Amino acid sequence: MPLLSVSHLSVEFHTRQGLLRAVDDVSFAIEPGEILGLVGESGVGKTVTCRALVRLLPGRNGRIASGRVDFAGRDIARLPEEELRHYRGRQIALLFQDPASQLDPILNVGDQLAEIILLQEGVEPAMAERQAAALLEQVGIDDSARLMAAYPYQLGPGLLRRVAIAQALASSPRLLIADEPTKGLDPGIQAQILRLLLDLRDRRGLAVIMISQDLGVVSQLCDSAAVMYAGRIVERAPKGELLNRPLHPYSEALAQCLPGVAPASVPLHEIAGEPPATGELIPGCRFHPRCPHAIDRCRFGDVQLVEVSAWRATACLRWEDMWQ
Amino acid sequence: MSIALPQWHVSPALRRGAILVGIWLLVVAGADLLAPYDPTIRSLKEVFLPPSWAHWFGTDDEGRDVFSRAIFAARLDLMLAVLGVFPPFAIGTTLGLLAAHGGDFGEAILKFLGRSVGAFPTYLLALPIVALAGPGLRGFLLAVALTGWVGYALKVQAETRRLMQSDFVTAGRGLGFGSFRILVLHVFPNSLLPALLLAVSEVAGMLLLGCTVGYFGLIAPSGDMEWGAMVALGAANLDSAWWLALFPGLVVLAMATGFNLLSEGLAERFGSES
Repeated sequence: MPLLSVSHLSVEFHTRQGLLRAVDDVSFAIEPGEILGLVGESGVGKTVTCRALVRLLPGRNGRIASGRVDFAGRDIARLPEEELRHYRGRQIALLFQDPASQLDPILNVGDQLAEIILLQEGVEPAMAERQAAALLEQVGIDDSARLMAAYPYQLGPGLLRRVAIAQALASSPRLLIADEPTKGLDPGIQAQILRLLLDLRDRRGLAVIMISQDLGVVSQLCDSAAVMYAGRIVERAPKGELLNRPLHPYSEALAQCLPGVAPASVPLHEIAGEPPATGELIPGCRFHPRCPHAIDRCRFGDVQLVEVSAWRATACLRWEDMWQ
Repeated sequence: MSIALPQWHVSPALRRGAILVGIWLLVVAGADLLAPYDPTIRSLKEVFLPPSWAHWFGTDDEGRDVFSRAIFAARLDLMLAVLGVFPPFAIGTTLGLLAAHGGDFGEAILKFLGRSVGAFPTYLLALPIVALAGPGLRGFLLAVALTGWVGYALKVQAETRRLMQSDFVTAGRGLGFGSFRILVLHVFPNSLLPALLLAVSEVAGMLLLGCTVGYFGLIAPSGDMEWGAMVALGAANLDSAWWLALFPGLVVLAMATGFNLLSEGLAERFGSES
C-alpha cells in the first residue's frame, strides 16, 4: 500500500476574478522511502498541490474542491482541522522555498528545534537540547553547539537550508515535502543538499516529494517524476526516463532547455510563450498554444492523462506517432 | 562543516548614541559630585552674572549657578523622557494586538480611534490635559498615555496581521503547532520588535514634549529644577541675560541628540524594512 495516494485532487481559489482552479484532477502516489519529483515552470500548481495535502494553502481563499488524499490508509482531505494538526509535522513535514522565511527570526536555532521536540510527550528540556544537537549532526553540521546559539539572520543560505531540514525532521515525519530545496544555492551546495536528502531517505526511510524546476535533477535523482502544466499532471515517468525518452512535448521542451544536456551543436532551446495564468481555461490539450507538434484534434475536448505502460503515463494525444 | 558567524556590528551612530546617553546617565547619577555649587543656594550679590570661569553657564535671577542647576535638572527631564514612553507603548501595543486579533473589524475600529486622536497635534492635546489633570509628572504621564498610543497601535496591528500571513507562521502550523502557541510564542514577540524600536525613537520627542510642558510651568510648578522651566526663565530675560535660555536649550539638544543617535543605530541594526 502506498504511503500517500492522491486521487483526483482539485484545488480552487476564490478571487475577485471568480473561482480559479489552480490544481485540476491530479493523481499520484508515493511509497515509503520513495522520492517523487514534481517538475514544471513557476505557477503551474506544484506548490499548491503539495500544500493542499496538509491544507496549508497560500493565502486565505483556497480550498480543496474535490478529490482524496489518502495517507497511510486514511483520507485526510476532509479531516477536521484539529485532527489534521496531528498529521502536520509528525507525519508530513514541509520545507519552504525560502528557508530564511521558514524560521522564526527572533529565536535562535536551538530554541526553535527544542520547541518542536518538547511537543512530544515525556521529553525533558535537557534531553530536547541533546536531541536538537543530534538532529543538526544528522543534517551534516559538526559544530552544533555554536549553531544552536545562532539566529537565522546570521546564517548563510546553505546552513539555513540545513537548519530548515533539521526543523522539518524534528518531529520524525514519514513524508517530507521539499519545495525547491536547492533554489538560490551555489552548485556545490546544491549537490550537498541533494545528497543529504538521498542520505536521509536511505537512513530513515523517509519519503520525499521534491518540487523542482530542474528536469535534470528530478530525472536523475527521483525514483519517479511527474511533470505538471497548467494545474495538471501531463506526464509520469520512472527514474531517468523523463530526460532520455520524454513522452510529452512539454517534458521534451523542458529537457531541451537544459544547457549541457542537449548536444553542443543544437542551439539552446526556449519554450515559446508563457505558461497560462492560474485557472485560465484552455480547451483541448492545455499545452497546445505553445506546442510545436499541435494538430487540430489537440485543440478540442478534454485531454486526459493515459497510462501507456505500467510506469508511464502521458497526456499527449500524439505520443504514439511521435515517440514510438 | 564549520560555521563562521558574523560579528556583532556596531554602527557609528549606535556607538555615538550609546556614549552620549551613557554620559547623561553618569551625569544624572553623579550630579552631587559634578555640580560645583549647591543649585538651590541664593545669593543676592551674584544675580544675573554672565558666564565666567567661576560660573560656566552664568547665574540666574536669584544668583543660583545655572551649570549646577542644569546638571540637577537632568534627573527630572531624563525621567520625563524615559518614563513618558512607557504608557503609550503599553496602551498602544495592547490595543494593536487586540485589534489584530479582531481581524478586519478590529482594524476598522482602531483606524477610526487612531484618526480621531491623531487629528490633533500632540502638543495641542497634551497641554490642556496636563493642565486639567493637574501639573506634575503624573499629569504628564496621563497626557502622553492618552495621546501617544496611536503610532504603536497601528504599527503592532499591521505587523501582527502581516506576520499571521508569513511563511514562518505557516511553517509553524505545518509543524503541528496550535494557533494559540503560534500567536503567543511567535507572532507577538515578533510584532513587539518594531514597537520597541518606535519606543526608543520616541524618547527624544518625549523629552522635547516634556520640556515644552515644563516651559509652561506644568511639570514643576513648585520650582523643582527642570530644563523647560529654566528656558522659560531665560525667555523672560532674553534681552538682559541671554545665557539663561541658551545653555539649558543646548543641554536639551545634547540629550535629544544622544537618544536620536541611539535610536537611529538600533533601527539600522534591528529594523527590517521600516
